[in-house]
Amino acid sequence: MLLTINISLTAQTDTLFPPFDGYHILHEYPVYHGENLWDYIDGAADNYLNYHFQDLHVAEYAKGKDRIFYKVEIYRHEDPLYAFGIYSSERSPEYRFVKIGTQGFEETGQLFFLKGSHYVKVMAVNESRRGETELVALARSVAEHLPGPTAFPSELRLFPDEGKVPNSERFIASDFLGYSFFEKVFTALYRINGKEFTLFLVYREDPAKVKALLSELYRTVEGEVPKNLPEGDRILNDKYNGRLFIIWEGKLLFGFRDIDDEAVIRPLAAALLFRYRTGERDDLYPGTSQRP
Amino acid sequence: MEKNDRRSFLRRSFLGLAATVTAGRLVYAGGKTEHAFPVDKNDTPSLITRRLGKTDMVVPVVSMGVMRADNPALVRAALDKGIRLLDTAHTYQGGRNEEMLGKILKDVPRNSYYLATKVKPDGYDKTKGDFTDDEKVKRTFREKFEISMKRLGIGYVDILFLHAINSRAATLNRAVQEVMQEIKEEGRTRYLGVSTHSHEPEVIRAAVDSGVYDVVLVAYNYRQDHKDEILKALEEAHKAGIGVIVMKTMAGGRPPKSGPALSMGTALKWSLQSEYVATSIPGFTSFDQLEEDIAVARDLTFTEEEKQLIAQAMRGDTLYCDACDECIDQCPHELPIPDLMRAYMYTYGYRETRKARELLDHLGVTPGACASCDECTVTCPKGFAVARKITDITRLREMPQAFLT
Repeated sequence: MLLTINISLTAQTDTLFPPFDGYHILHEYPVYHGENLWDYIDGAADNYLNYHFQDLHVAEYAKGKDRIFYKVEIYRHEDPLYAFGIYSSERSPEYRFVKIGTQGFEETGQLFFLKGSHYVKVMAVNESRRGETELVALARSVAEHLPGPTAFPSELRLFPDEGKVPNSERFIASDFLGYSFFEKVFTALYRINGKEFTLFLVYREDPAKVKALLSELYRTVEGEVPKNLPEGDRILNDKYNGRLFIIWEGKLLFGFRDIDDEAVIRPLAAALLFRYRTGERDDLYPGTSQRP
Repeated sequence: MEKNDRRSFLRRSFLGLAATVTAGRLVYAGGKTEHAFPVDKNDTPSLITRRLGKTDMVVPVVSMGVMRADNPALVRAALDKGIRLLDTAHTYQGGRNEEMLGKILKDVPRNSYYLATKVKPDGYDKTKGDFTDDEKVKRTFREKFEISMKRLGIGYVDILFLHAINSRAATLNRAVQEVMQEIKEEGRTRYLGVSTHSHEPEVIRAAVDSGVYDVVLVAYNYRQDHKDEILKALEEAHKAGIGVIVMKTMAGGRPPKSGPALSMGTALKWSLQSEYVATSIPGFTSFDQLEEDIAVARDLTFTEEEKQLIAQAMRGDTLYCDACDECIDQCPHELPIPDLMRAYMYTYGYRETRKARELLDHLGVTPGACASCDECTVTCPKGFAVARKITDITRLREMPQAFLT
């Protein structure tokens, strides 16, 4: 039984990593799962597990007598949404971005990208390959080899463009604002008139779930829930997170953190609501069971 | 162990807060917004503190593993509740974790907290269990450290760890020690440490022998098979004056394969029972978790219920097969015993008889599977009565579907 398992794992691993001209592939690493991811990336594993990590395949591209030039790590997550979550948690707006897969960013000697349910890291092990176009070519080849869509979560389209810091959008799987009930939240950073703040949103297919979430927020922050909790805007004074400007409409709940200036908030809120009402959010992941 | 209220702690330790401390309220000027943290209704928190080895750091027994946190308000709340040591690493969240801390800490008096970060150089050869390229080790350690310091935006860290090491050789690697000591001599770190979450006793003892490390950070929890050996090594470290910090006190937060799972708080208390441990770095990400951990930092005594749970956890539970596969070759009929034990656990542990039935149908084991043997030849390391359990659970295949849950 063990032999069968090893063979099937190798076969699966081989199909993940494409051939690359002039190199042969080494599979010296086991496949990592939730139980042993710590062995590979130690404490960083917790963040991956939080984003519904499934498995990690690692391979090295070598020449000659196994002189390794590149290392490729393919982290597979439950679905594209969670893969975007882990990718966005490690992405910084200051990075140099490349169009590989859904998106990638590169630093000297390494290129990380997102495609479908996969978050991939391609690293030059050999110093002479740092910054070379070959690294990019390998990353592109791996991306083309992987299945999955190449679009960001459709919820991101709701964020107005005015003042948004490009590539600052994130998907927070859990514990948003430090509250265990506040999960599956999208955020984006904004800079307007010298003020930096966060716009966050939650989208649920069932408006009752949005209402329940808002009720829980009221209960936690203010100790009680208003009777007949209406849709519309409100301000919550959170002892930990400061003032929160929150708007609920139907399937959408969104809010602003770290900003008090309504002259900045109101136009953005109006722009977001316009996008929501005119249906600018298209579901690009039909059949994905994990939509909120 | 010292029990301090917050005010006494602030007076006695070498830390002294700036004059901004007023009547128990700590005001941080954070960016454009000032945060004034509320004081607990029951007055100031009283946290149990311990000295970290021979260092000058006296810390609450609960510190903060920042590795997953991305909410600045949570970090500020932790500091306000008396947590003093923040732990991060070069690689956490691709560097965003250190950056986040840098943004928060620029408005926090430097002498009001301790910061630890961790760096691992390139050039580790896993087949040799050691770093093999001195030049690369020194250069990349230094490069990564400088990047970390830039992200953190502070002049020095309190502890610089060699990150995630699992062998004596790597712990004692000369090139690594040289570059770390250089950084210490430059005043960029006050102390040096090594972190490990496997082969802990080996790494701890190497740290003791090195004469270089001031602190060790180790995985230590109630579920480890070798926890007794770890504890012995911790005693040696403690006697050598090396400070001990523990992590993974919940073993990664996943339910155990056998026995009940303790709550986070109980598991954390367990890891802190030993006087050899100065503090822990649980990775909390919500205010509820922070409160639970602070409660532990105030009181390490177990309730009666917790004592029972721990005893059960230590003993293991007869429902959960470890899937060690020792039985497989012992059964003359080659029954899939671990899977059958899993079906047993589904039924009696989780009351999921439908799930158990699906598994049994898939395995195709009949109710009379054990009938032909006069005596069971399987000896289970956990003492499971294998034949009895198989006879019991396979009867589920004869139960009408309508009765299954």
